[in-house]
Amino acid sequence: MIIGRNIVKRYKTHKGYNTVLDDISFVLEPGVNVGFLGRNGAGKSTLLRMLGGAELPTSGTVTRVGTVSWPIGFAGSFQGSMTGFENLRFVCRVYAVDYREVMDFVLEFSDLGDYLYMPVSSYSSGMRAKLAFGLSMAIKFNFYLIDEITAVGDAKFKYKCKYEFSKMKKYATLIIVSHNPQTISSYCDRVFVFDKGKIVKFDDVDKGLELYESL
Amino acid sequence: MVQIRVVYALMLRETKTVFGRSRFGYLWVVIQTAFNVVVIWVIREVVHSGNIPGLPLPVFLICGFTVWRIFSETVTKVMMSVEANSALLYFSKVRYFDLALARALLITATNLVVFILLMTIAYLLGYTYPILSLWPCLYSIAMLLLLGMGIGLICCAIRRYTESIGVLIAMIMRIGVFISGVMFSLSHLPPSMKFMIDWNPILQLVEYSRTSFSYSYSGGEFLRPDFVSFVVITTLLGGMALEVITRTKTDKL
Repeated sequence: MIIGRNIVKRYKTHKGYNTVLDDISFVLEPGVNVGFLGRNGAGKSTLLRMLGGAELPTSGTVTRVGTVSWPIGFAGSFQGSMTGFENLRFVCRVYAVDYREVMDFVLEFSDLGDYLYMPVSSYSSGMRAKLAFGLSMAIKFNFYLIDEITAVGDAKFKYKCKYEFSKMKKYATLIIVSHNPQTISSYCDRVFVFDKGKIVKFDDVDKGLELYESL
Repeated sequence: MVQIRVVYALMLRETKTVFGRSRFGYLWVVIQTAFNVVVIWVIREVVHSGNIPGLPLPVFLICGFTVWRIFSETVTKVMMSVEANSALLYFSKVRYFDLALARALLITATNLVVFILLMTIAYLLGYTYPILSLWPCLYSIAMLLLLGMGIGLICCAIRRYTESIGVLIAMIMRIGVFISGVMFSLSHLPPSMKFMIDWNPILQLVEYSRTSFSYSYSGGEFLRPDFVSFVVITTLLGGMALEVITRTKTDKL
């Protein structure tokens, strides 16, 4: 379970402070997949980062019960001078999982082959994404944070992702940020619509999508 | 246990990033320290600045530089630790403090390796010294590591408001190396300047570390253990508190 209490997030800009999230509270329950909808800059990805602990709220608290993934597909923490394999081993060490199992999964999922032993800086953006997705999915979490899943990769890769997400739904909870109504309606049980610093929660996904499209 | 594993993973990662992919990457750290020692050694031989009572000059310099580098590198690396590795905070097991600790421990380990290597080379070159007790040396290293972390964390917090602190620290470190007994023993200072020894915990620790390797070196008598402990604990706790308080300031658009 993830509980957010009175979360405020402000960013300093040259014109003063921009309040992205203004006193929002919520509970994300296990087994209830939630979609985050909203216009660009509405605070969806910011909240996702706060759920994972990568960013802190200006005020308010996020309480996590159970394990939470990093935003799936996030390749920013890869060290370019290290090989894909070395990056993978680092993450496995941090999460105390057997790197051999993870490596098997990543190799099968990403089709990287021998490129796994090349420095990440030599990868194309597609290859980076494949490594990042594969690695995120290979480690088991209670909650998976997913930011714009359909943004990268070719058709085959997207198909693999969809297949893995469907599997994940059975044992974990997905929190999905997307602009794609189809993605939201196929994976989510509830939606949060972000607008003007507040969130509106919907148990009926279609109603949430209606509001989102009217923004 | 979780945090020990995370810090270990971070240290291994840092090894690869700091020393690069070059096979000689690690060797450069040895060369750099050795270079400092050799340059000052040659200068002192040329100007006949006098012997150090009770300690061969290279041993005096190797001790001074290694212990000083553990302190100064910890300050600068810990100052940048969160900013340089903030992407790693996406991994929920990695905490802010782990980033700083991993860097500080790696610096200490690296400099210890360099220290043992250079001391061995000095011995093989005929500069003999006894190893009396490693306690003064290890105590000094541990205290300077903690002090370096404390100051580094304070600077990390200040850097969230102004990046100029990095330049200021670089300047202070350049002066620090002269007033901390790294290259020259300050034991012959006139009494009017004695406050420089009394109020400089770094100097006291640098000098104390050398007594591990000499029967008669007088550097240990400056040490004020209560004062050093007070400064180290206050700085470390202050640094940790400031770093935590200023965390929400890290966000940039």
